[in-house]
Amino acid sequence: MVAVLAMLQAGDLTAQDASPSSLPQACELHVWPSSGLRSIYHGWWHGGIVDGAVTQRDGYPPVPADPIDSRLQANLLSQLDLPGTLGLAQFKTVIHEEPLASREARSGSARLVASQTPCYAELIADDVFFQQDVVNGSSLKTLFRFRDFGGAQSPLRTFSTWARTPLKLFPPKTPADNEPSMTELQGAYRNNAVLFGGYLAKAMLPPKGKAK
Amino acid sequence: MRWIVKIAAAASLGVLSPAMAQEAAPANPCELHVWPAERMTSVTTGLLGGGLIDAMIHSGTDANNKASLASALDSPSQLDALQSLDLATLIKLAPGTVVVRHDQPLERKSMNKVKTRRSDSQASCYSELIVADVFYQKAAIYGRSLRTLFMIRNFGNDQKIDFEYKAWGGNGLSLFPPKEGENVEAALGELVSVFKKNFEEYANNARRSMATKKIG
Repeated sequence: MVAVLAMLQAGDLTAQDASPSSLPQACELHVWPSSGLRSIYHGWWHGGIVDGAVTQRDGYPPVPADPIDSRLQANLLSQLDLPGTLGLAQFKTVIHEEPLASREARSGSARLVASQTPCYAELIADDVFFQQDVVNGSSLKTLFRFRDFGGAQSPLRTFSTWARTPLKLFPPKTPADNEPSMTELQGAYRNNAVLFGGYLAKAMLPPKGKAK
Repeated sequence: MRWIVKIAAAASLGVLSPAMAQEAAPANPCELHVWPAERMTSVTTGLLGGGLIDAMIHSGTDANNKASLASALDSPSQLDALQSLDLATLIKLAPGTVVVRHDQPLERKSMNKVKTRRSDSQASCYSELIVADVFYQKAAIYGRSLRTLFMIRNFGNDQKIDFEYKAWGGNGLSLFPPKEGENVEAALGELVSVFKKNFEEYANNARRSMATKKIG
């Protein structure tokens, strides 16, 4: 499959259409990666320093430098059927390579792209953490934020939650582990996006109650 | 030209990055340098009341909570939260004090050891506000709370601390932590609002301490 690349507007905004056959469609799902991997460690005697592993602080497990940067995340997201995962089957996916500042990702109430499409949604990978605790082992956690605007300029529904996939190989212990551990990390990132779709679908179900 | 406009715009808000502060107009010498926390802790205890077994049982929960704390209260969010408050009134800043943001936290272990200015600023009126710790606690009887350790150091025109006040602010939580798969927006938003509330509580006590020591 040949990815269709198009410049939406002048500047640094690069759009990647993950479903080329759907170009004439007007609905748009805009997707942003996070700025890179962060880390949390929970141990018996220490572990409170945020990003201790990714900044190579003493006492924290070493992690390869920038193992899942925003460009790689954008690439991994483009491999998924995100509209199908998020229940937006008619949407065209526009993947941005530049991450958003946390302030933009969290506090904005308007469309992040000046698009006038009659159906518009956003999926933001706000934070990606390598989480390690001494009892439960390691996992990759992604905080996704989803906003569905419909045809409006402010969101009609929003949903944000963590998705978590256990890791067994990452971080690599020997040079021979490098490739399989990176493959595992990338698979976990993709899996988190799929898990998030499941949580979103569940959240959209009507609340359980007695039928009248 | 763009640089000048940027400085003018930032100065009008009283917010500068460290590099910009050095080039800003010298007519306004008072600076407040602000650093976010790098250490975040979650301690959940059940009916066992703590100890090794309790820590093992809640290890996963505490690791998850730490990730949520680190995300909701990342360095820019801590600084934004503090700057959204009326710092001038809360900690009695001199009129026109410029707030200088440091996005990179100070090393936690160096916080009490270093007794001189933590920035290179040579300002003749200089003070620091440091967020030292963010601490979430859930106890079976007392419920859930977020505590924050803040430190103010006022140097005046030299490298010697004239006034220092370090204390916790703490308030209860009703939404955090969220359950797995649940919408986390309200729970993470609560962390930010309680962080601000903690600072207001801390600032009230700091002003009392200033009044006692006849500062400001």
